[in-house]
Amino acid sequence: MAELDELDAQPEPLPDLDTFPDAPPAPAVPAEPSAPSEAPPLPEGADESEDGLTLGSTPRGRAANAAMLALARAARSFNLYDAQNEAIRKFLVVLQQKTREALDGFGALRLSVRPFELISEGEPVYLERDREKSLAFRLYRDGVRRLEIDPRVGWDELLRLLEILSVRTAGTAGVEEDTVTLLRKTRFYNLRFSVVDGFLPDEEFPEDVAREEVKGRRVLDRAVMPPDDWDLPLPPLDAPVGVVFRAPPATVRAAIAREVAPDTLADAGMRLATGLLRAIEDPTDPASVEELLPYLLELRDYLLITEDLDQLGHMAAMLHRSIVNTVDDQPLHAAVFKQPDVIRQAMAVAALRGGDNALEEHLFAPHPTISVPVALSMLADRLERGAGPKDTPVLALVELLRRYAREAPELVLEVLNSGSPAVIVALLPVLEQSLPEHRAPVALSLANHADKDVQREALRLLETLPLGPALVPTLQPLLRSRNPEVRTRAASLVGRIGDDTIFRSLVQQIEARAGHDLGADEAVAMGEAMARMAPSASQAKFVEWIRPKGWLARFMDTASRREKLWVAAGGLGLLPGDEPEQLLKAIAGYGDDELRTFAISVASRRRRGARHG
Amino acid sequence: MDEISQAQAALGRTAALTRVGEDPELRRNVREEGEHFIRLFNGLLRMTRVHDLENRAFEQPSRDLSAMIGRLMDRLGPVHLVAVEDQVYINDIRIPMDRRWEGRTLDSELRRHNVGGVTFTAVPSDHDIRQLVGCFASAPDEEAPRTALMGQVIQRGINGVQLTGIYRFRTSDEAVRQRVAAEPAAERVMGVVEELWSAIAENRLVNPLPARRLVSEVLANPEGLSAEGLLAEAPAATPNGAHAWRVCLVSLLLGRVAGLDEAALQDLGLCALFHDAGYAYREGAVPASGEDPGHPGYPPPFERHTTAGARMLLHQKGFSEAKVRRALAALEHHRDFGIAEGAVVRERPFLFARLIRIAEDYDNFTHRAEVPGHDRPGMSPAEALARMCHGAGRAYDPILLQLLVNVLGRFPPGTLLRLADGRVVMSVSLVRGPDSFDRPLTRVLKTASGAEPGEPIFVDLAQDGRVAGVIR
Repeated sequence: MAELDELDAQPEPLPDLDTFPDAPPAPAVPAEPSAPSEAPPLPEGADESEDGLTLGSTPRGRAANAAMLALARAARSFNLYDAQNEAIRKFLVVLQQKTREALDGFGALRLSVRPFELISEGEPVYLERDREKSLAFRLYRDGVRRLEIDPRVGWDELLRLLEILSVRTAGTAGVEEDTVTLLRKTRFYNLRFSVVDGFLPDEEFPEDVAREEVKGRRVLDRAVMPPDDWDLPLPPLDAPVGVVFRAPPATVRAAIAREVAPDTLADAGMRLATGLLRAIEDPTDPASVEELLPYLLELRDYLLITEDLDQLGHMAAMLHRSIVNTVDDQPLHAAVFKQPDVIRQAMAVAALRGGDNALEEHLFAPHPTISVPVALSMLADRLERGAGPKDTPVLALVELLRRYAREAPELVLEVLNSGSPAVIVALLPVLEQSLPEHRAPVALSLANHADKDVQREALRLLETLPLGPALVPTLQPLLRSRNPEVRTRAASLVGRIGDDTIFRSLVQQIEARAGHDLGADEAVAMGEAMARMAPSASQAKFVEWIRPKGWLARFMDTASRREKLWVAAGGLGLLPGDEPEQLLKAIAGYGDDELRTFAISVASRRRRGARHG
Repeated sequence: MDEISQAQAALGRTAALTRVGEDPELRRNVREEGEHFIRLFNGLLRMTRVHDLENRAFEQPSRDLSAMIGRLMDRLGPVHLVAVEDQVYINDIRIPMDRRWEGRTLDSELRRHNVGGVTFTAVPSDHDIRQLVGCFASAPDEEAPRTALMGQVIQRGINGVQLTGIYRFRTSDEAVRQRVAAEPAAERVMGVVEELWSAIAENRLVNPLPARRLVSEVLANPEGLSAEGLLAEAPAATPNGAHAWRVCLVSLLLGRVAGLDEAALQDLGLCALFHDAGYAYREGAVPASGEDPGHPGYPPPFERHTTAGARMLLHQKGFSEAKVRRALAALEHHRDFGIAEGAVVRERPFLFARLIRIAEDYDNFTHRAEVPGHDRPGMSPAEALARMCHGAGRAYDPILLQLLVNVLGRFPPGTLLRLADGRVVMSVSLVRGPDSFDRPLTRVLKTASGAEPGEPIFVDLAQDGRVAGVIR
């Protein structure tokens, strides 16, 4: 206590009277000591940095100073930054490096803690005069008086110390624990400390002890007493049996300790909730839901923070089954879980893990008006941040929406109508599987979407649907899409439902575009569409393109003619009779290897088809 | 993930969990009001140097301080203010002072009168506050300043104020530690146990920290969990309080031999102290309102005191391991180990509940069981343990019960024995080894001739003497 005595000898600042603004002016406050700073003066040669002074007159002192500054910075940084912040990372790296340098270079760090200073081997190695920033003050204030760090200390132990100095004693966590109980509870092997652990009477001549004891007992008189028959009747007594010493198996202690390991808290919390819920459901027990609800909210938050989906699922299921309502007649499940933030947090964790059946059934499904929009916004958020359509969270969210879209279809349709292209593409399978009655109108609408991916996926969906000729006008603009794949698919669809009117328009389009941007796939699809819509007219048109009038035209090798032949080859594959066979032979003799190969394969396919009827 | 990223993740998680376990109300209500309280008190004391007590300048701050003590008492019950060096505590909660000299000023103002703390057991009126300040402003008596000050307080008609002596900090490496932990525990235990009960009963904020410190001291003291400790008269103002303390000691003893670490043992000790909290509940209580005098209610019957206890313990805000364990232990401490409900075998009770069940029944059998032919309740510890062993696997966890047997022995501390040579002795040791399991150290109560020995005589049955029978 020597250092405490020294500190107490410091002069006091003059107290002010600002507590009492209404008080008349105080002309002459009796003599009080003058007001110096509370902390010791700056040592000569010391440099002030953000988290303490650069100190040390010896290499050992300088190393210890660097380590303590690093510890102080790291401890304080948790008040300023999120734990994942890059700044925290840098502070931890420095802490690791500086403590190692100090310990490896100079051995154990033995620190005496003073209100603003840490002293090692008689040398100040840390000084920070700002109470808010001072590591020394924080230690001193919480009762630590000495701290010794052994060179064998590992990173794990340093982190546990940092945890106690920063996050676990920050704010108001001192209700249940203080630094003393935390340090004692934590199993440190290479850290030793001396702490203040209580008060002692400190009188040389104790006064009037007996009288005070009597007064003390009066204070302790209970206003409420237990009943006289507490714990009675006692359990029935059995006949005594022989009592012998039996050493339990060596594994018993470990098994017992495991029952109260930190990772069992969620289980204990759930058991408590289950037991109390049972009491509330018992009509003879006066337990009320209002008493339990705050605890359930705490338990829910704990499970969310620890990302314990199993227990969260159990909790949701338990409350889902419960018949208990709150005083405002709200189901207990809704009182605990029907909140967007809660559902969002649970869904985020579940999505990262690829989904969770229990949560979906017992937490998300009961509240679709929250779950569906939350899932939609999370899906949009993830895709906008660059997630791919096959990423686990995206797939999980889509699967979740697939299951529950029917509970809130209007929300899904709204996003399909106005969402970003990536979201729309991701949601089309949901539309396809869960909202079948909306497939055709939505897909047709999206087929004209400005985004080519959306167009393509919408057409893919349309291809699976039974469509009628009335929809052809909607598809026609797609034949002019800039995207060849869209044009190809649109042509296939048009071929399925088009008629003579469309046929003429399609031929005009082929003739206009041939030689410019008609790719092979698109040409074949257009030929097939022609053959389906008007077989006779198509064959006539194909003949015209294969055997054009005039010998000059026949031998001109233009790009336009070549692409028309691709169209014809595609269409001839679907036309009956012998003539198409001859026409395909003519195309094969055209002189273009690629086209010849294709024409031969079509002819071959036709023959196989004919043989198989 | 590298080492630093893992550290960041772990620290982030701890920070989040710490936030969940917090009770923000405590900070807002107790710490902030505590700081204001101390400033007001200091300010009033300083004002006596420039103003007469009748000056109107005292009116508002006196009213404020009176109201503040009232608010603190609503939450804490009796308000115990302790100044130690430059720190100030209210009911063992350290009050963070923005200006350190405030704490030191208070300490020096009180110290003049040899006073280290002030306890308010009733809300003083603003007039009382002025009078109390006047007492402190007076010159201290040279011989017995605190006694004189208390005399002034009584003379001025101030009720509900008590003064305590000066304190200093005690550090964990002080040599005096063991003596301190063994001796004054009685007084402190009584205060802590009774305050816990009162806080629960009056629906006030329960402050578990003093109880945790007490348990921590018992665990740190090599003699804290000894036969001597078990045999000592439990320091409590009521039978139920004494029961809570004894159950705590036996639970800790059992928990320690079961291999629980310090952290778990601290929580177990608190669970044991709180295990019967449910009896403080009052079913059917109706607060007075207008002309309706209300109804005080009645304590829950045995069957419901467990759920009542769990519910009351959950009033403490914040989700912490300690709170959950306390409530769960209270809820399940009477559940049998191996009972089956219909075809479904229920999960066995929570570990702390199983430990407390054994400790509680052992204590109740040895202190409350009616035994034919005995003038006072309580059967012999040896008989209680032997009968409990019959329930191993059914009522009690057989392994935990065996561990208790292994540590208490065939003749647990307190068992009265008749030796073959006619002497009457009492067992005063725990088991010292498997070989001396049924041969404890004993103290002679009566010699072979029936006389009580003039000075303590011990007989180590491991070396001498043979047990002829158990008297009690």
